[in-house]
Amino acid sequence: MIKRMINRSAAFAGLLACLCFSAVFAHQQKSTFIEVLYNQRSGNMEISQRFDLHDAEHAVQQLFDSRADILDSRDTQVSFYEYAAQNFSIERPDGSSINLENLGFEIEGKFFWVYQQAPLDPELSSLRLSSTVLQDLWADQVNWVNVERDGEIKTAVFQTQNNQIEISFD
Amino acid sequence: MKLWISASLILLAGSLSAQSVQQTKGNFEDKFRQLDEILPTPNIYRNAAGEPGYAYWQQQVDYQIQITLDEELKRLEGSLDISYQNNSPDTLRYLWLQLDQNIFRDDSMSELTNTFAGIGRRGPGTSLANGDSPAELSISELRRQQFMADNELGYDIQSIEAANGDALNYVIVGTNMRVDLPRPLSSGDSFSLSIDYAYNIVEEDAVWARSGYEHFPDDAREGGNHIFLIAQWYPRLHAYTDYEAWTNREFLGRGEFTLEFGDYEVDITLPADHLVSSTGELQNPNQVLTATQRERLREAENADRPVFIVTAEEALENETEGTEDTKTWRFEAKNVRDFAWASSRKFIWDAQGYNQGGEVQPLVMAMSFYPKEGEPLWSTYSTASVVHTMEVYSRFSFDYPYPVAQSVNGPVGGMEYPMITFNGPRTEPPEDEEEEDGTDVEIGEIEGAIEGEIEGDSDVATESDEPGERTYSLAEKRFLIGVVIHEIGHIYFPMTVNSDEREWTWMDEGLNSFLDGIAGREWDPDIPWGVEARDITGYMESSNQVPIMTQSDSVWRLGPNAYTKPAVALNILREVVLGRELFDFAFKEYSRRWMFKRPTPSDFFRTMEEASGVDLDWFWRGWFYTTDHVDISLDSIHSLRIDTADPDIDFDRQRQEVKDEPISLFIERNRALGLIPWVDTNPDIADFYDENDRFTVTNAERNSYQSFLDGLDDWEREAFERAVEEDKNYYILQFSNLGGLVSPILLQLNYVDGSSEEMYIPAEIWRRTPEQVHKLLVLDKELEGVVVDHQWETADVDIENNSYPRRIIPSRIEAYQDKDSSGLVYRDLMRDSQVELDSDEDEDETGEDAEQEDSESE
Repeated sequence: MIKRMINRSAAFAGLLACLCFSAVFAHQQKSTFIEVLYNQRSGNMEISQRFDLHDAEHAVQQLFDSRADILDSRDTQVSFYEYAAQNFSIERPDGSSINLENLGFEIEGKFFWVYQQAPLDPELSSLRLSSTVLQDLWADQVNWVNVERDGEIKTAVFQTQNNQIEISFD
Repeated sequence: MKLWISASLILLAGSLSAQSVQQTKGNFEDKFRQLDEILPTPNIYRNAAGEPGYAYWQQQVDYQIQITLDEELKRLEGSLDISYQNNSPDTLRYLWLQLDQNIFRDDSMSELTNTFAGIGRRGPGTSLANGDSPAELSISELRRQQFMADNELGYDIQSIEAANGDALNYVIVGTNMRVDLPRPLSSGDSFSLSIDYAYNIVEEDAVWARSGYEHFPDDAREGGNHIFLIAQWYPRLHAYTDYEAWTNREFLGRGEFTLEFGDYEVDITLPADHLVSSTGELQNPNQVLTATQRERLREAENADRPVFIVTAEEALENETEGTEDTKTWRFEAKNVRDFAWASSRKFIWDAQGYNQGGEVQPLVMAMSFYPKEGEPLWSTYSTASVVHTMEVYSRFSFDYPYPVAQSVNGPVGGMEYPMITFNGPRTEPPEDEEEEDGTDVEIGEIEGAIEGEIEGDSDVATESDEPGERTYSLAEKRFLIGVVIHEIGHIYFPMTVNSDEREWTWMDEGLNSFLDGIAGREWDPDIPWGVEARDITGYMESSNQVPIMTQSDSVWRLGPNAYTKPAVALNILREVVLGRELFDFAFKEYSRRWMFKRPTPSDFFRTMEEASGVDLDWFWRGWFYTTDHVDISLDSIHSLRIDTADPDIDFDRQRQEVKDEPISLFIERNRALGLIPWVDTNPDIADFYDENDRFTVTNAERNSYQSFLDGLDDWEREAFERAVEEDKNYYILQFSNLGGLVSPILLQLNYVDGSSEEMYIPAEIWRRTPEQVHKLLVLDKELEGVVVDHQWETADVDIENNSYPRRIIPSRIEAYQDKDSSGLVYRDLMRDSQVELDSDEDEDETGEDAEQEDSESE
């Protein structure tokens, strides 16, 4: 039996484009790269979130407005920056939040960068990380977080929302 | 006696050599060990040089397909005749075919093993529960599941018969089908079979496929319109190979396809108002094209810019009508490994001939098919990108081997097939001119943007005086150019150099990403194409990664693993290790050897080494077989000077060295206090040692020096006296390999006089001590400092340890905070150019409006 297609696709402008992009080049997936750097020189834990500009362009159209333009609109840039900052958090092992200072953002080459920092706590050797940015839009969004301390790197991969991953350094 | 029991050789090498050679003392890790121990043994099919052996064989499979598209049902139904030529030395008793559409069945292995919220999962997503947050399904995932539940998906195999009409026994195993042969098929013999089949086409956006249809419900035609991108649409033979026999691994969605070359004759019957873009050459243009269209195609053969074969106006008119009639389009394709096609009544179609010359395919028709929803971006850049790709790729490999090269817009973001590619970029409708029912602007407004832009009226056809044109961002433009270059590039790799995609994604994606980076830079060097060495360092130092040499379905992060990292590796091989001349020669040799054949990774590795004349096993081992990264630290520089042994020279130098040392703080403070040493207050009391310091030379030292000289052989004296005379600067540099991946050391030597020079140390410096080495430099000039890899060519992950003396390298955030925010790098000039300039009257009115609002609010 051939089942008749029940197909009433929703308006697809931004959504379609982003789904297409998920299959671009026959495989590439959406991913964000985040670096958490223990910077002894500055005394800060520095967070840099790197977004592919094309991903960000489509994201703002779904997040804010179908006409949102991350390249042309400062307001849109600020909104996306705030959204990204809100979707990254760090806690101590006891569950208490580490307050992250939002420093700003910039566009460099093909990337949109979001910057945050917090004072380094020399006693803190474990972190509980959470990164949910863009996963509310695209469930195939993967956020890769490299935590670097004294030359050692630990990586946390966030494939799903609402997960926390604990990173520990000996 | 202590018995030292050392661990066996680092597990990597041990596992790679299958435990045949073990380092059981010490911890030496042989980064330069030859790969012969782990590569397949050369044989008569694939020799040690990386060439096809003298007995190389591959099967040939020819297809004749008659297919009918039912647009309303979104269904294909037809039959195919297969002729299978057994060129192997083996006798076959069955054939394995691929039934890729079966992946969409709810009982497929892909569906059953699709993890909830799993890493590397392809498709709409899901979230595990965490704390108070419940597990979640995205709406996209719901849609996917509903589509699969509502539709009968997968192949409907209706009959399989031999050429004499006898039914053949067959067994379907997931996405594979075994057809049992009535008698063994000997080497050199052929067998023919026919299959009647049908299947329901998937909606691409619903199930995240590599093909399918897209529905445009708001088009004027009753019921809307569709674009059909048809691929994996016929039961096709698995490859039977010398290295694996049947390559019948289940299709899980990630690893792509392994196929045989053959000839195709395909008849496609569909609505008469559809345009068809297809693998192959159209055989019956008089039946399916108008005279005008045929004339325009002839005109396009020698055009400098794309020529519209179907204009936007014609396409818009076409998409509003519809028809009950059908037409049959006939295509033939020679020596291709697959066949795909696309159809729609919405297509605008342009074409431009690419006259590459040569004997094999002097003329290639570059063509693009796209709906109005892709304008004006597509007419400006798609076909131009196709031509550019062929111009660049052919320099590195071979002349484009087929008569057509096509770029088709549809719901698939980017996918490749012989002679045809599917690419996804779209443009945005104007803000203020959408129809009330949500349809896009009328063609009149679009025409203004694109008319006259093809055929030489304008080089860049994006700006127009007409209001309300569709626009696109710079990022979308770059996306289109990049994806067209990449997908057309795939027609070279793997459609012609036919690597095993199911097994090794990197062999086509990595090589293609390398070449598309070159083509992209030659298009516009200011566009960041993303294959610079610096683009992969974050991934390479992360702890969640697998080696490049990992089977496709097991790779965690396919983009960096199979695209970017191999592309960066090849860039480094070309620009740093081999140089362009050697690399380009070797790469072209690889392409030539394996054109229309099936190479494996070992064939690529061996060819590049044989043809370049440079040992590269360390390179393949480090970059492709491990997860090591590059981190070369310049730990220290010790400055030395030749000891002349001549006291009249050396003692004076030593005296000066002491003088150059900082004054003792104790003495300095005493002076500041005005304390006068005893010797200065009693100058009359002095002896020999007050007149002659410890650096005073006596004949005793001179005699000793002469004895030393007399004791030298003639050649020793000559070398020694020359060194004293030249008085060069000697430096010992200490390097550490912190990342594990051995790499050439690129040095920038900066001299005190302000000059600098570069120096290249081959990676072989690490061959005996891969963790740390010392290098002596003998220089004419005095060094001020040295930088390793100052141009970021080697993917070194830490530049802070690359300089000596150490420099303060600000972190990204430190650098950001130190500079003024740059804000926008570029704008959407298209949209900005449509903004009208505010006049004084406008400003006055604005001010008056604001005042009025204020007064009203009061």
